[in-house]
Amino acid sequence: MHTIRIQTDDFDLAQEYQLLRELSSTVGAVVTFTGLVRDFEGEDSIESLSLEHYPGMTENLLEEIVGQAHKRWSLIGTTVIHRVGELLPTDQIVFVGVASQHRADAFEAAQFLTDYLKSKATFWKKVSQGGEQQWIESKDSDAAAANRWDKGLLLGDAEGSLLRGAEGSLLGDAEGSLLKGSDND
Amino acid sequence: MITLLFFGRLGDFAVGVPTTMEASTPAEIRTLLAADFPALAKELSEPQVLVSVNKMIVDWDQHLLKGSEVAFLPPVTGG
Repeated sequence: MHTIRIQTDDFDLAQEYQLLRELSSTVGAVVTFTGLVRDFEGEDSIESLSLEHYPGMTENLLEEIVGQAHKRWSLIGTTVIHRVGELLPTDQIVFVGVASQHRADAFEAAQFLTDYLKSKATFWKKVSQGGEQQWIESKDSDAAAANRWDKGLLLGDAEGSLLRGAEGSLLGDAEGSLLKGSDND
Repeated sequence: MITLLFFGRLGDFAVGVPTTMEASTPAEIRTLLAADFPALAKELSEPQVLVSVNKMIVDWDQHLLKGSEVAFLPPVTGG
């Protein structure tokens, strides 16, 4: 069971939590992450943030990422919400929620989903600073955060690790992957 | 005809670029654009820029079929 939404509207954290909680009486853990718009970028304050995405492709990529999480961990439900359009400092921008029987699956999957959507999904941020607009540059640290899941660095890469990449996965570096990194080209 | 899309900062360099053109690969599109839009072509040559065809990431020498949608994608910054 998973939900993926890309929307301009805000979301209600309590409501999203409740939906995950009520999925099943076997739910023993719900982990949620909420990303907010900071009021600064670099050393300067920002007036607003604008989020662009590639309709259709973004949804496909998020489906892949969520599908991968469900393969890697034992999950009961996941919700990913990403806002687009014009946002202001302190606004909610992204929500990741995971319900599972046990906390380890929910914690790890929530972090995986957040890392992956940051570095793989087709969103682009532009900030307005001092009346001028500029695109945000991607951070190496975000790519590294996602890559560590590929390499199994978080829980070791022993045989049978929960974090081992699935064979033939679109998230791996197989030919034709939706999410192929630029360093494979 | 091939439909062209430019996202993120690439969109700023693509002002005035035709929305469709004839080409057999994404690499050829980049070459064709270089004549009239050198700044855009330079941006497209950055190694971090990915190209997709019909919403799938492909190599720059991917053969394009008629009616394909080609999108040029700078590094993503969501989340």
